[in-house]
Amino acid sequence: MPSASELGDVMLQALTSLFRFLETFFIYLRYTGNNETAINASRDSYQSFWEIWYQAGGLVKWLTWMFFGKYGYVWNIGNNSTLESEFAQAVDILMGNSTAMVGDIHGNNSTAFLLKVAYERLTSHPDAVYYFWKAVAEMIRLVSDALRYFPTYFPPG
Amino acid sequence: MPLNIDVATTYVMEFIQALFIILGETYRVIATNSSVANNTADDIYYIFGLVKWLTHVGRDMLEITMANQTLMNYSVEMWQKLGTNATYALGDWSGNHGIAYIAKRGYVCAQPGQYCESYGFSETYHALQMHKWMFRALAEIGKRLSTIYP
Repeated sequence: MPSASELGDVMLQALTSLFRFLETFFIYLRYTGNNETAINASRDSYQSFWEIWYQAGGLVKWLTWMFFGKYGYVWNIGNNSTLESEFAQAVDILMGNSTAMVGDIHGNNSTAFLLKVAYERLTSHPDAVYYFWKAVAEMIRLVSDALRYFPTYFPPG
Repeated sequence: MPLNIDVATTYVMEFIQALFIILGETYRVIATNSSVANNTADDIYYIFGLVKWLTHVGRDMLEITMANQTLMNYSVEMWQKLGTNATYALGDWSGNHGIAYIAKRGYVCAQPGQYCESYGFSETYHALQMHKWMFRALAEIGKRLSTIYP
């Protein structure tokens, strides 16, 4: 059986690798966005990104209507006594088990426990902190670079 | 009944409902069987190992792609194809294409008096069942962690 500190080590190694992946992924997206013009002169940088962005908005609109619109799925919960009591039971189970499910102040349970074991090993894994900030920095670079082309794709009025 | 859009929509709804049922059953087994709950809590350690190596592979693949002009051309072409066809892949704002069309049909068909009215109820019901068992299963796993990882 692995001990709590071994679990913490593996968690932080996984997070380090995940942050490094995200960092590389953001660089890759920026590189791809700018290469669109280089490879296909008829297209501007980040055009695909904004095309996907715009159409994804339509998808979100209809999913939102389906879930939260009148007579949609969530509307049913508030307007059907069977579903309302099922929902009340679900909330009740969530509340009754929150210590075991979310955690307690001492970090002996669940998510709080996982955070505690990771936190206790953090000083031995400075990589995790380093690559976290690298990933954040690359994300900001990508977003600001992509937003530079936003007025080109959606010209003002 | 001949196959029309409403019948096709119920197939999608039944599929999503079946996903809720199988997930709910999985959570029920974890919540009610203590040795399964122990093993699931044990798995957390190994799942983080999987995440570590999976993201490692993903990062290497991206680095190889960025360093190779041919792969980069394919990559740009792939995003471009998805961008040009985004209307048909994801949908449009009036819900006439793509996944947005399926969501719109699901919404329209589940309205009172429409063909899928009862499906809206049963899908929501099974989603709630799944959540009930999920909360119980997560609690069973959560309270075992400090014993499993001393």
